[in-house]
Amino acid sequence: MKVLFRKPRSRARPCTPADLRAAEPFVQLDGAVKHAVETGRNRVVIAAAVFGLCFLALAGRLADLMLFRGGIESSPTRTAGLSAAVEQLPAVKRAPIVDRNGVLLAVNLRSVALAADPRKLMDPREAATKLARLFPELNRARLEEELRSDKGFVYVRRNLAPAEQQAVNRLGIPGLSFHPEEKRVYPQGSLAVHAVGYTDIDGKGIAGAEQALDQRLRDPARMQEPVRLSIDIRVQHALRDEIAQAMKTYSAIGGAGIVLDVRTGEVAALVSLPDFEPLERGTAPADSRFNRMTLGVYEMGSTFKTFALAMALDAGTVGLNGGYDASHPIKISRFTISDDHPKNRWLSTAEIYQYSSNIGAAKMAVDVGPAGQRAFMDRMGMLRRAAIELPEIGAPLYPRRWGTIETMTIAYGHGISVSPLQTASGIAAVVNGGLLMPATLLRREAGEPVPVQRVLKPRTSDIMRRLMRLVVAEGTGTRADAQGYMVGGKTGTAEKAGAGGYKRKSLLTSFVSAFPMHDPRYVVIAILDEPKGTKETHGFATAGWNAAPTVGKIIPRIAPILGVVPVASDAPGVREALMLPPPVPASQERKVASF
Amino acid sequence: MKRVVPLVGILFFGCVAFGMYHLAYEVKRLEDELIAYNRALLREREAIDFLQAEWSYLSRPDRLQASAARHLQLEATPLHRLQRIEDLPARPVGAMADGWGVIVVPDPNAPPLPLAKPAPESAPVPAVPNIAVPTVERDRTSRSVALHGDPR
Repeated sequence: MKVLFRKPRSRARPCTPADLRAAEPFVQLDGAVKHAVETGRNRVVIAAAVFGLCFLALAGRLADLMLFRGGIESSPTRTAGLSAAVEQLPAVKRAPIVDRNGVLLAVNLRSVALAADPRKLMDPREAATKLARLFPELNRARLEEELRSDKGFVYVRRNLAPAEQQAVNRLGIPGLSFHPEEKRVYPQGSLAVHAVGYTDIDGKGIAGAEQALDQRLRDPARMQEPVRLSIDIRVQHALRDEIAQAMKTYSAIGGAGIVLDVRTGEVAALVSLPDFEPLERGTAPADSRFNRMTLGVYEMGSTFKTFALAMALDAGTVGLNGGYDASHPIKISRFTISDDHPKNRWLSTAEIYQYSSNIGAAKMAVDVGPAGQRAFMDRMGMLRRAAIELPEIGAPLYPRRWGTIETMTIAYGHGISVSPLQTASGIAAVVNGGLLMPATLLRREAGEPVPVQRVLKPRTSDIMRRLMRLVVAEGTGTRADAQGYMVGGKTGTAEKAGAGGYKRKSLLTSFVSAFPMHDPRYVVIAILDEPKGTKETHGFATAGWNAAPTVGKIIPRIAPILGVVPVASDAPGVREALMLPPPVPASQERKVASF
Repeated sequence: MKRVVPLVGILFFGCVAFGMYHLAYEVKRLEDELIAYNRALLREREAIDFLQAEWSYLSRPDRLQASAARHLQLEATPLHRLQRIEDLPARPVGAMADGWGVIVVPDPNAPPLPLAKPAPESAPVPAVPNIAVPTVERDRTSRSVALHGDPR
């Protein structure tokens, strides 16, 4: 290494910049050193330029963000991360349930639980007194005892409403704390409790649609989207109101009703009385929690003649001009089958239905035969559980050995027990042109395909519509005739089976109907459990005196809501659709032939 | 020149550094604002849930029925007054809804309505303007004509 700097003249004086400047000419740089210095300088310049560029880029980005875009534009991933942080606030854990028009039936509301830390409470006595005054259902003495304990956490009360939370805050007691929780609220109360169901304290569905649709209701992806039921709360109320009034009028122990759309299988209303407030699910008696419409299976009685006739007409074993001799009761083994309204003569097919002749229906079914009847009942869905979004579905009861006697009794609705819901679906198929579809509690959107199954010829359905109208126009169901709505239906009075046979006095009366009969839209069923006779009914307790007039009151209330326009009975198109050819006078020949 | 370049550079770097600092705080502030908004949104949503539940509770059909029975004199609608909306006759030309929601067809021979409010007169104006009686009278007639048509 060569000498770079001149040696200082004296050590006493430190080197100054002047010396350095003065030394400049003395610096000797030869080629290699000069090269090294140049390289170093270049590197510094390049590094500075790179840093400068980086800062320029930074400045550009800053100007871009702060001056031009103002930070409005943001990448979705960033905001997603942010909202995730925000959404950690407790979100509801169960989707709401609404009726078909969006009326809230069940919703999770955030609430708070009031808890206390007894170790932090200054005056347990005062706290207990104040809290007991605020919540009268709390026991002051027991609360004070709890607050005096040496536990660190005591629940004072759960599910506080916002107003109650404020009131507690106003008390200003230190040592109390709120803990967020959720509760399921049913604003409509008992109105549709058997359809909607309820949840347990942990928010798990344990009855009704709440249980059947539990997975969907807890699906986190569809939490915001309510489950829309097919129930129309206005129709539901009308049905429930009328059934409740009928129960009161006829001193019945129970009642049930359903309104079913025959074109889609949607249940517009489903009532089982007595019912209960969802809040009292724990204390409600079993009878109230029992869904008579879907879980209960009953011998439906004469309403089943509708199926017997549809079966015989569809199989072609009898036509409208045919008929059977009903002049004598049928005696078969130890049974006697007789008529409640005996005419004691040959009856045409229409008359058998109109006058509800057990003898005629039994003979009609025998002509089809046990195997044919069994196949038919299976086709109509009477031998399997109904399909609906409810866990409370009763399994039908039918004879394992299906012989001639069983065929006869089943023709008039004894010896087979089905749920009223199954009956409703069957009646819908009878009147809607012969298409069986599963009943549903979920609203079907317009144009949504309905799974149907053809079970009857359209012609059979057409005749059955006329026959059902005949029963209401001039048969056992005249009290169901709601003016303008062309009601058609069939009464059914069954003796309830008890220990040791049928009980004469405890009846299950039902009226199955559809309206308007020239173009059926809805099936309406009303059932009364053990109705009694009144002065107005002259002591009678059969379906024509109680269930039929109930339907007659229900239909005018619900038809305007359901958009069914009343028609005059002689309006064009209505008359032709409901006309029946006059019964052909009975000839001796036919009587013998059919016997 | 030799002094200017580093000075400008330092100034520039300083500005950029301040800008960064400012931006970082601005972002934090905006994030806080977003979180606050989201919280407020959740609170509002919760309030909507509560109000909807309350609305559903207050509009229970049995409650409405009881209230209507107590406070209103309503009768069941006679059958002939139920019609489909598409079956209603078309609205006449020039028809308009008056303050009662009743469709009124203006009479072409009637004197034209004043275009502006008449100037206040010196006479004292009654405290309660007595306009209800004649309006109701007129409306009853026009309503029955407009909505019912010929009674069947």
